[in-house]
Amino acid sequence: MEKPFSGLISDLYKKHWQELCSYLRSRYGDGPPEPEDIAQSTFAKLSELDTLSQIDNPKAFLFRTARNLLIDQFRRRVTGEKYLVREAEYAEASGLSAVSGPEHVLMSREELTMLESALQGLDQRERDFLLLHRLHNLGFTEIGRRVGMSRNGVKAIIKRALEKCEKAVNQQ
Amino acid sequence: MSYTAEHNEAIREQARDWVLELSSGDVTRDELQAFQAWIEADQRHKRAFNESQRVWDGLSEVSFVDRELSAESLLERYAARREYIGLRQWLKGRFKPVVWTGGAVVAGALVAVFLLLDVFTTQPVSQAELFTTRTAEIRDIELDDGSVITLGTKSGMIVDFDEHQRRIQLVNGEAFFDVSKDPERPFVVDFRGTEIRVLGTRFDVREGAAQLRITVLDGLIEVAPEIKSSTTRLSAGQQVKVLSTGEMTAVGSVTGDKPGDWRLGRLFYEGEYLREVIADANRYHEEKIILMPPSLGDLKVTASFDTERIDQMLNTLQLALPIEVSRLKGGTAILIKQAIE
Repeated sequence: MEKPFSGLISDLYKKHWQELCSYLRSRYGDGPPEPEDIAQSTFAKLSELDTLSQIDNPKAFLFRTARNLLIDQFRRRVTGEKYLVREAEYAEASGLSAVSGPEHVLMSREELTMLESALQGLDQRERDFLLLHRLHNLGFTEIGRRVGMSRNGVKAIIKRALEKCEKAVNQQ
Repeated sequence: MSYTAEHNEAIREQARDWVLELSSGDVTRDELQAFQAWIEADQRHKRAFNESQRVWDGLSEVSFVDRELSAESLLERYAARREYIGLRQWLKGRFKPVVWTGGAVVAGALVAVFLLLDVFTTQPVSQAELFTTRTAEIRDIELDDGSVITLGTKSGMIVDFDEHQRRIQLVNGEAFFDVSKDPERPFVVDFRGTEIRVLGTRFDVREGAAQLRITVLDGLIEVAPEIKSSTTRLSAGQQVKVLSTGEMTAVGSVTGDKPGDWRLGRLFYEGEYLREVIADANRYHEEKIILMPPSLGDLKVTASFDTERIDQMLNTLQLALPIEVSRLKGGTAILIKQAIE
């Protein structure tokens, strides 16, 4: 059942629903995933956030969240990932062992520990760019603009960081 | 490395590329379709992608050093670099139309550049080194790996080497690259988003008025313009131009001077736009040369000139083209349309 949207959310909803749907449609077509479905899930997701009122530019945040959701869903459909990850997350949160499809197992505690130590071994710049992208949600172009580098230069550095992390996790 | 191992490594690399493109914040519909085609082409693609994506997802679950820092304070570490590049672009935009209004302003700005360079080169964040040349200065720079870069007049570049990659950011101007072979450490030249990848070769990159010209003397390079995800290969004797719109021309044979011949002090043009010829001349000439109106730049030129005798070149152009040269007090030369007699 959907929760009723309140305050800021319903305000955003009234003002930007149409625009959001046509933005998604013009950028990524009719789907699947359908723009309306994505818009709906986006608002559902936003309504679960406690920090929404502290966000500087809620409209930009709304559009970015929707775009990310769309790309996530597209990716899951194409790779056959479906919602297994979600189930696995749920299982882990409730203290059960994570059970999911053979190709989509969440990282174990052990692997996460390895990943953490791999992060220690990164160059400062690799770590900084990862943080800016993964934690602060800046896109490659934006990071490039802010540090005086091209988008592809930023991507190359983050890619190298990802490669190091993969090697650390898969080494055993 | 066996063929299969190499092939698998290539797939893993593509997989990583896709994980990042999907996450980049600017993926397009076409790219999503290309991604789908790639995944469906081969079972191994999907497997490699899922492996990468799993680690990528894991990154949002672990704790980082500096996690508590705001985006602004992280970005602060790169402020000096950004300011240098920003200032260059600002100078470029600023002084194009008003260049003859006063030497003092220009001098002031140059001092500011050098001050910033100082800050930049002492930044601990990166071992990157900056090299610049003044008007009519040409400089050979020998790098640790044995490569030699000849930096053309009024040019600037940042050399940023680490154990994985030899990265050169050409900020402005022209450079000729004689690159040592090192298959473990690709050599990448980045000019405002256009990337040129090399294993070992000699080639030239020249910034023009409205284009970037890349010519290869020998070996093989790969060019990736910023707006396109696919790359183009260039071999000896070939050239390609990247226009200011980001579009890339078809690969053709080198026209005009042979790659790197400018190091000998001569430039040669074959059917080149006057605007590009003047853009080059301006890098060798202290006093500014201006086209009035700018549409004069559409004229095509076939000519050769000595980089130390730009005045003589202007006289030659006057004979060959329907233009006249007039000079302002400060030394600025203006090329105007010839009056019809």
